[in-house]
Amino acid sequence: MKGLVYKDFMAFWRMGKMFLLMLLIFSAVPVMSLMGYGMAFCAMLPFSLIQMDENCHWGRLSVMLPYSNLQLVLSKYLVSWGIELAMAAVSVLSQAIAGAALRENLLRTLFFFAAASALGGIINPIAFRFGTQRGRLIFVILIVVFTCTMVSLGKIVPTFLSRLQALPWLMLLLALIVNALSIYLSQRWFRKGVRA
Amino acid sequence: MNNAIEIQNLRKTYPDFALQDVSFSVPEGTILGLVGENGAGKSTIINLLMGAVPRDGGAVSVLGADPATPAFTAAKQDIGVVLDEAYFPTSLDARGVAYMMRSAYRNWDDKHFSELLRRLELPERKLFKDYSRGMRMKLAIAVALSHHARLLVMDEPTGGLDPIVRDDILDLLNDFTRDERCTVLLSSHIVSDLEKVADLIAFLHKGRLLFCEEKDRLLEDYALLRLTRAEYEAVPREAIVSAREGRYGTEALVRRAMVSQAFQAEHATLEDVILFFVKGVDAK
Repeated sequence: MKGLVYKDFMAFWRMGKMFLLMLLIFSAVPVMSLMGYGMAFCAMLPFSLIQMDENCHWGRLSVMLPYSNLQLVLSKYLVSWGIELAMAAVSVLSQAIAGAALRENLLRTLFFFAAASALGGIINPIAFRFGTQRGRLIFVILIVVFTCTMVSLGKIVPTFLSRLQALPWLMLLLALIVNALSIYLSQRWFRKGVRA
Repeated sequence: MNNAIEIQNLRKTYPDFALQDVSFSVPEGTILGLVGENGAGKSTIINLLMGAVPRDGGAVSVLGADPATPAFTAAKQDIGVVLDEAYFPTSLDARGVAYMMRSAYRNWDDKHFSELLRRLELPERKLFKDYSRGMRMKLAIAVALSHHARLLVMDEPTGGLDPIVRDDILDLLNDFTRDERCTVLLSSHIVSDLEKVADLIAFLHKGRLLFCEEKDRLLEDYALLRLTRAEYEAVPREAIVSAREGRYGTEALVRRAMVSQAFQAEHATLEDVILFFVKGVDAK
């Protein structure tokens, strides 16, 4: 498992200095909307890691090594959670330096972290099952449906969600549920994706 | 002698290909060469043996475990795998690959891996993406040999490599099987490689196993006859495996024991045997 996390982290590390620089800017500039972009960027990270595996056909070899399906998919989640956490920490620090109130700062960052994690949880099984090319198309369709739904809901319940103090915690709960389901589906679909 | 691999009536059907009732076994301490043309089913068998795809029928046992069961994950600790390409992540160097494999194999041996890197002249700190194809395959073999596996499963490891690298790889295989508990399944369509190292030859053609025999016995049992049409008619039909018409007469692959000493039987190479099985005309 440690080796798989190392492999995925090295893939992320070599993905490019531009990617790292953008993540650093997104998290270090004390503007919350930028932090949101950064987290969404992070949520797409496993997609890129899976694509790198596809490019070198790692899946074909990996199913013949003494790894379980759970280990093979979990490393992607762990690496992206780790990077999201690192981003969140940098963001909290930069907001604190900029003079943001600590509690509000923490809760906002928690919200974005949980949202990114939930988004990643939706993407991952799709990428494992359908591959990154088809998966990206499915993901775009999901995002359009999600955005349309949110816009419609926004008209029905204006400002309700934005004033809800428990929203970060609700988002965290949602992220936990989505990721538990996501990991279950990813490990079930992983081999089908490799064969396809 | 125990069998490292046992396959009984193995079946797998794809929309454009079917592996049909393949049965053979590989005794411990031997090298079995799995030979066949492209698309004959060699890689399908290896995928089934390693549990990478589910089978449609038949029974498989690899080191005593069924690849279709979760228990097979433990058995994989004793199996080294080399596929037709070394599918390692391109972001790693040889040391990174070793770090990754150390966490997968409980018997991973860093010292042995370093020795193999030196022997095969592989750089430790060069990224895998910058390796040549020969270097990549050597690294794949070094990895497969560095966790004290009892079984090596190799799918076309020498394809597309120059003769020097191929020879290095075959040397490593010979070293590996010096331990009589160590077994190799080597799939290849380079018959000359198999002729050098294999103890047994299993020949697949269009998803069917045409034979699985000891290599030496194959070479003893079969012979080539070059005959005129009249001479050919005098050969007992049951002795002829197959024949083909050439510019200077008829060539026939025959069972040596069934033809008279009067015929000038020539030594048949493994390649002759295989070609006649596939391309010759059934004389019966």
